[in-house]
Amino acid sequence: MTDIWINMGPQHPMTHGLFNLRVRVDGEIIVDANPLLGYLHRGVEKLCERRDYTQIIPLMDRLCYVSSLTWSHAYCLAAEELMEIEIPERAKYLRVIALELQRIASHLMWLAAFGPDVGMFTAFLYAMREREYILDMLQMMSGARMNQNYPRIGGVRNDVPPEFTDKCLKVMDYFDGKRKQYERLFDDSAIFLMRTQGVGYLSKEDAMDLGVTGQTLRGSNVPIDMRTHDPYEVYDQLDWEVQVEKDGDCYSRYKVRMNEMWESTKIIRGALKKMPKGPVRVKPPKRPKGEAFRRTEDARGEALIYIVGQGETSPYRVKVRSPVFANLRAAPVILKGNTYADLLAIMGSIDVCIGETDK
Amino acid sequence: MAKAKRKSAGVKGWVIQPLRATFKETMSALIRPKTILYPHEKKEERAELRKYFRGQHRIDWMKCIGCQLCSRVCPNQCITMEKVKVPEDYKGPSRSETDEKKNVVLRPGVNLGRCLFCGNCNEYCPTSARLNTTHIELADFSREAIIYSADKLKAEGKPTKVLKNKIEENPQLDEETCIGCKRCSRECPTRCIVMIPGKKMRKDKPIENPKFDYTKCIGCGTCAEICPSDSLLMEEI
Repeated sequence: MTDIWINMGPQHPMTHGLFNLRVRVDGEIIVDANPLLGYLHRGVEKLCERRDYTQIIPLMDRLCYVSSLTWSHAYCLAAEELMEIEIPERAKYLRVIALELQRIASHLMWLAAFGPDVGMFTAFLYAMREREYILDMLQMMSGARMNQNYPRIGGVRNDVPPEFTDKCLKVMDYFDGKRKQYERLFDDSAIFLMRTQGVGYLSKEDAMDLGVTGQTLRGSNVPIDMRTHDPYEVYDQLDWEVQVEKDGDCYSRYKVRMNEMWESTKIIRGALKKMPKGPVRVKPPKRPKGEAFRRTEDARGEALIYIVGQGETSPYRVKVRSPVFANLRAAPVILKGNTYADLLAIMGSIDVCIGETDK
Repeated sequence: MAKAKRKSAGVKGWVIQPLRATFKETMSALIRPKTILYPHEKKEERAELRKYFRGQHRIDWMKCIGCQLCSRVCPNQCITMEKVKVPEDYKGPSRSETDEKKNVVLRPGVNLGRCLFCGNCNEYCPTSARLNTTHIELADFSREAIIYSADKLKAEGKPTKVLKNKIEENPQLDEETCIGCKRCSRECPTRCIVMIPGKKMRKDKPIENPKFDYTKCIGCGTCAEICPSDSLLMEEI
């Protein structure tokens, strides 16, 4: 049988951004794959050299518009480590609430994209409906639905309005109530199970060798989550569990993400209960010197920001380590041996976001 | 590679189970629609969502002192300061003494095509002259139409004299290089600089050095930018 290369992209409904996935097929079986990046390169790391420490925060929001808050937060954590400042307790709780709201919104956006990938358009409409309530809460906190620019070096931009706690608990109740509907729609549907179970298998050993992070790693039975592995903010004081699935296929990656959303509501409830009163912001020093890095659990995996300061108002170097870049590297290994028709389900389950991968 | 066993699908799994979830939702949506016809109907303004909202810029000319701080903290350099002629009996605060005589004030204009809506300009404004509006429908047919001039962003409120140094920087003088040209005291928007004779002499006369009143200083950095000999440096408090 002769092999042929097929270009999926750069403009393709599967890609969720601009990248080219070259797939080598033998009949209907995929024998090789090669992801090509570079269509969405903006030079973010270079742009950081011309901006001062505060002006970089809105730029970091634009790395990934789906989970912008986690990126600006990762940058702020790294900058705080560089400047050696401790932020107020209330700001830590506010950040955790904002981060978890953003994580739910990001996972819902993923669900909205993954549903049509496996032939279930209903998922798009349902997920978008719930996302609207979560974005309302984020707007109430920070003033913007997307690209919030909410964390600051030394705290957060503003305190929440007094009625926020009640409204947020109401939204969490509503969202938890929808859990049964989602389970009936996905877990009871034989079509969905046929398209995801046993498809795109990634073994535990392969996942660890390839440096895969996030839900793809936890779907392959490796319980590593940066929120407990390298704790930041107040995650170690709250009551929640890392979600792991054993099978290592598309279905377990889906399951990890869904369970994480319900776990996030638990974190938000706990944080709202425990949140102390007090200031939300301290003043950062202007010209830090040295180097610092910090890793956080992004909505897609382990995000790392590395900053070098040389006593100037703007940093000498900002390095962004994207989780999807590592996961995309594993795509050829996952794809090998599957049929061409399953490609959409597999690439959808990795949750590709090219904005942060290509930078 | 090892593969998990696929489930077989019966009629129940193919049709009935997924339909059960969707049918229930359809019925509830028929009674209470979840969407609106956007340009024709609009959601009523929900006040609790609008507290920190960042919409189109508006500038209160009665508060703005033309310190140029907003144009300096902007990450995209979308704010340009324009010199605007005002009538002789204009009551609002001006930029400096010399401008008051010519009836010219310095006010910001915004290129909304570049604006990120990050809110940094509102955050650092020392007089809170920048207003948060909820206006979001800003699309237009040409690039020129979205460059908003200072006049277009004008809003008239009550004149107030609140000055707060929100960027928390103050100018520091290097007496060795100061040439005593007085440009900093002329350009200072809050007029917190007075010139006093310093230690260095020129033609048997002492060179006048600026002395800062840090209670009035807003840290805008105009003096440091205008200084011809680079003897002023913005330092944190």
